Amino acid sequence: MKRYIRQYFRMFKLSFMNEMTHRGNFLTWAIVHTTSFISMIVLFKIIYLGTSQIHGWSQYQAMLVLGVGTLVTGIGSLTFFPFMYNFGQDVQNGDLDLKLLKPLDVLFQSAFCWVDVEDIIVAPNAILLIVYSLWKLSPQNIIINLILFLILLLSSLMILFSVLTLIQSLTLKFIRVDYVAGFFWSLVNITKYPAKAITNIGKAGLILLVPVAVISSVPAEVLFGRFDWLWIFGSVISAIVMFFLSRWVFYKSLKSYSSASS
Amino acid sequence: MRKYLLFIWVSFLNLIEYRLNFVWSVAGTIIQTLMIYMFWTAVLGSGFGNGIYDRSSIGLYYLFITFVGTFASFDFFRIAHLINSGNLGMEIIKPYNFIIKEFAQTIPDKILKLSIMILIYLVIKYFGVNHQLSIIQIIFSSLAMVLAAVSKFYIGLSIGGLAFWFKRVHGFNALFWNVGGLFSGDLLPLNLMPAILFSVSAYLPFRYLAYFPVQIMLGKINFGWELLAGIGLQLIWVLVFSALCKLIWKFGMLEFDASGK
Repeated sequence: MKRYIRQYFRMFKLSFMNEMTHRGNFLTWAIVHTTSFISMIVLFKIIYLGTSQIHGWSQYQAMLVLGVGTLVTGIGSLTFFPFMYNFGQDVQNGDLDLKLLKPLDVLFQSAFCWVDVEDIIVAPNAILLIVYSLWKLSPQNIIINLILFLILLLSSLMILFSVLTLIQSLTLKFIRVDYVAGFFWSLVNITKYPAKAITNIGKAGLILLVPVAVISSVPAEVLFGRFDWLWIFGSVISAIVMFFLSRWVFYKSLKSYSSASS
Repeated sequence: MRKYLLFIWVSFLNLIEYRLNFVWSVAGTIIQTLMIYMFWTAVLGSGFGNGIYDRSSIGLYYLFITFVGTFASFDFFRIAHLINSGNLGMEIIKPYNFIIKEFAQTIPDKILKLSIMILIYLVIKYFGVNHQLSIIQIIFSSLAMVLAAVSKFYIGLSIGGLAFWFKRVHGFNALFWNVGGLFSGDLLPLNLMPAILFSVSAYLPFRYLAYFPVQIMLGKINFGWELLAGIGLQLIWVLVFSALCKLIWKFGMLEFDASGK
């Protein structure tokens, strides 16, 4: 485990040095992410100008979901999100060979291949909104809420990681899956909406809403002190199951890899 | 003309060969649209919007927004990559117009996505959503969509062209469209915005890239001066973006040495 942590920090340092050679790009992205975040806050503000709540969700509860969804995105960008960009290229070019030869877990090497330092501003922005919303909501027992929130945050990241691993396993079979990034970003983006505020939908809608709710709405609920134990346990258990299942699928699919142009 | 038809054909074959890739791109768009639609039905259910939209009209609004968005989208990344890798040098010495070729290559993707969207629209209508599209609406919304696509094409070429000076241009693209998201009607219908923001959007190009064609489809534009003024403004923005694109490429080519970065 120590070896993997050391490996991650070494990569972080290299990615950071690389990013700093394009400072203009780094600054542009800081502005981009902040503008994007502000536009979502403006959207929520506009909505709550016309209504006091959406099916029991107040303005700052919805903002908390936006903050948590953005925090998940920010942490994902600094850890495993780069998995969605280069893996397909590695499979097409046969560069995965190099990873197979190294004495490190292949899934770890593929997922944590570099750090998206240009997205570093996302997490602090999200934390600011979370703190502000919590201040407005002033929940009780914040310490307990926070501990449970951190567990659920980890679950959310594990679920997203598992989904990405399952999608990328397909790359090993179908070779060219360039739009995976677009698809995955679509999934990540919708976690910023308070999915649990959406009611009166059919079964098809529920299939989409449950995972989205698990990723951002459930941790946000815990943070402001609403404990829905079925969702909480469901989230943790599904994260563990999905993590091991996706790992198994990935290594199973890896068997069909036969170097360049396979 | 024949060589451009060939580009279209090759691009189509490429799409068929990597069909799973295409499925992912469509699936992502559909999931996002579905989520935003469900969110908006919840918002409208809470009393927001003063009855301007109901469950079915907001659904149609987001379906048409996706419709226009997927039809008009253009991949600036390919252009930036050609410049960064130096491969643009090989492209511009070949006996075809590079810009027309790039546009031609996007046509099969647009047609296929459009067909899927039309199919979804027909399925929704079959299940009882009440919406009528007259011939005039189809003609003018198609024209508005084509103008939006041309505008987005020039915007994509301009942003991609920034690669003549910058190694990574994704940030510029994201910045442009993030601001645009709020004023184009992608995030929320513009007529649900506060009056001041709605007025501001009239002076920006974004509403003519998505909101305006959608309003024609929804039948919320008067077929008179309002329509003509909208189309006229779309034409003006096309001219502005094409001029900007020409300027960027004219000065960019002076920087280009075909060796890559």
